[in-house]
Amino acid sequence: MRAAVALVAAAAVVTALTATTAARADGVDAYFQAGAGATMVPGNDLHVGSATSVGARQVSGSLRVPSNTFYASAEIGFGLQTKHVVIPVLSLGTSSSVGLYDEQRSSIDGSIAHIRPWTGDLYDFGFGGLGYRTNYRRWTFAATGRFGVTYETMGADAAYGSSTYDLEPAQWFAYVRLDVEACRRLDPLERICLVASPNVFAFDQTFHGGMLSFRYELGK
Amino acid sequence: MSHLTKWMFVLSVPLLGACSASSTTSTGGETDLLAGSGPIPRRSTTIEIDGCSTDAWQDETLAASATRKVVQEIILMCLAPREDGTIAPGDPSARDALDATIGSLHNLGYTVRLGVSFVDETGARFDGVQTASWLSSSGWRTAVESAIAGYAPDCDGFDLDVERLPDDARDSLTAFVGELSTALQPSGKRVGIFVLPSTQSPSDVSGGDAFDLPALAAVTDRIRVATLDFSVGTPGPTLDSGWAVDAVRFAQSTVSSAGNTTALYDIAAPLYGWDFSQNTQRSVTWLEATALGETYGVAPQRMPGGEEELAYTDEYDIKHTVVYDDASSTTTFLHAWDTSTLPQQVGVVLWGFGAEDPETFASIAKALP
Repeated sequence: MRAAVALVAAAAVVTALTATTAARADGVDAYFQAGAGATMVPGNDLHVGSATSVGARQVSGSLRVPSNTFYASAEIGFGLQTKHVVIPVLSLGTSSSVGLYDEQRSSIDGSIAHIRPWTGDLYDFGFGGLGYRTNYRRWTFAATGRFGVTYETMGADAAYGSSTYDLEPAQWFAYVRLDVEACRRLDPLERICLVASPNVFAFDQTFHGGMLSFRYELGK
Repeated sequence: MSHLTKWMFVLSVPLLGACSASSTTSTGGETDLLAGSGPIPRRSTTIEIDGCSTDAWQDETLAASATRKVVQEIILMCLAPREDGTIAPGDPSARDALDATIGSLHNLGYTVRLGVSFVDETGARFDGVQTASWLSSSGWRTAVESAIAGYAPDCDGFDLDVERLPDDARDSLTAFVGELSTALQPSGKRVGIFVLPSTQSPSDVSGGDAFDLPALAAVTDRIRVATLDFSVGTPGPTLDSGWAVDAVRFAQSTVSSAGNTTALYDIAAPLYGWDFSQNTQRSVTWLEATALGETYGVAPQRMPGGEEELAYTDEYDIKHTVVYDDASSTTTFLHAWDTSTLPQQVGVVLWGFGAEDPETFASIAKALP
């Protein structure tokens, strides 16, 4: 676990590259961006579909995923912005778990199950939001609320006798995130940003988990 | 590397070089997520003891606070019907000793029931054909029912362990249990029965259809589903926790579909293990299993269901596989049987008391609310 934290910390300082179009102060502009960072996902329940064969059994139900799984995440997206308003339109993200994990013993419908946190994947689909941005000398500050859905999968199996049978736990989750960012202009074209994106609501929980990233921007 | 490939593809630039050092993987260990998922549901818990008395090891364990927190009831699998309609043990000395044992267990706060095991004169072998023959005789049934009803006045009830019956013994078994229940009514004692772990109808267990579950549930106070010996003949776990759930659910659905929704059930978990070799198997205690591992220099491996397994070759060049439960596996089962899986009214029978890992009851007690 200690190793996982260290590795995620390393991932958190990975520089993200973001290319934005210039935002004119007197109009609405589209922007495009790509970014990367580290995500912490709280424990949640994944669903195993009905009639999943485990030996002579058919199981279905929820499979508890261990808390605080860490992911390296990448995201692309575009939106609209004015001098003070940010409107994210669409974003696509993918994440893969990072770190060293023990196999987790759990259960589903009475059968002993094993979860492999190192196989976890997230797929984010953001489709809207609203934010406010302001400038102060060389700094730009922004806070943007975004919503969308996340599809989470993780490798797992269940025991029947001496054998194991693969499960395919997965779940859709709605999310609302708050991107709070502070950017410092390095020169007229370059900015470096620190972005904290706590989950307001995600994985059926409130205020648990989120994403932290540094971002490098190009643009006026 | 597949994860890294994906990241790079999405980003199109090698942004995550630092993450390449963090290729996600297993530590090779296992963490018990169940242990952190909350307490074990508090269920009616019974231990089965083979025999009419307890030894010093068992006495010590039974007196421990952890055991008393976990266990409420003890079944002494002690009695055996005989062909002449009597019940063994029959000599006064044995009966006096049994009464003393019941008294001392009562003093520790346990409910004590006597198990009636339909074994032959060897005391260890079930002969279902012989038992079926006996049960088919109304005279024999009446004599045995009377003998049981008059036995050990201080015990709190009786439980029947009938195995290897042919399916056609169904009616006579049902009649016997009903008549015994009637015979016990004056004393206020109840009778329970261990049934084979069928998961379907017709039964998938040899002899399983000898048990008319709705009729038996109507005349007993508890249907104890003997979810034991999952692996017979080939090495494997003594219990599969999911299979055990299915067996209890089948009993519940069979009985409730006949209109009885108040019947009580038990699920069983083993405290012993098996040593499989050359198409034979013999039961082993936890101490014996661990000693075999030490003797032959073999470390046990955790099986998918949580049991311990070790393989060794003895001095006669015979290969053995030992599968046994320990505190960890038993606690895991009890966690897996959460109340969303089995109603809290379903009790647990821990079978083979005295063969267990010494940490078992402390481990369970720690996990209880």
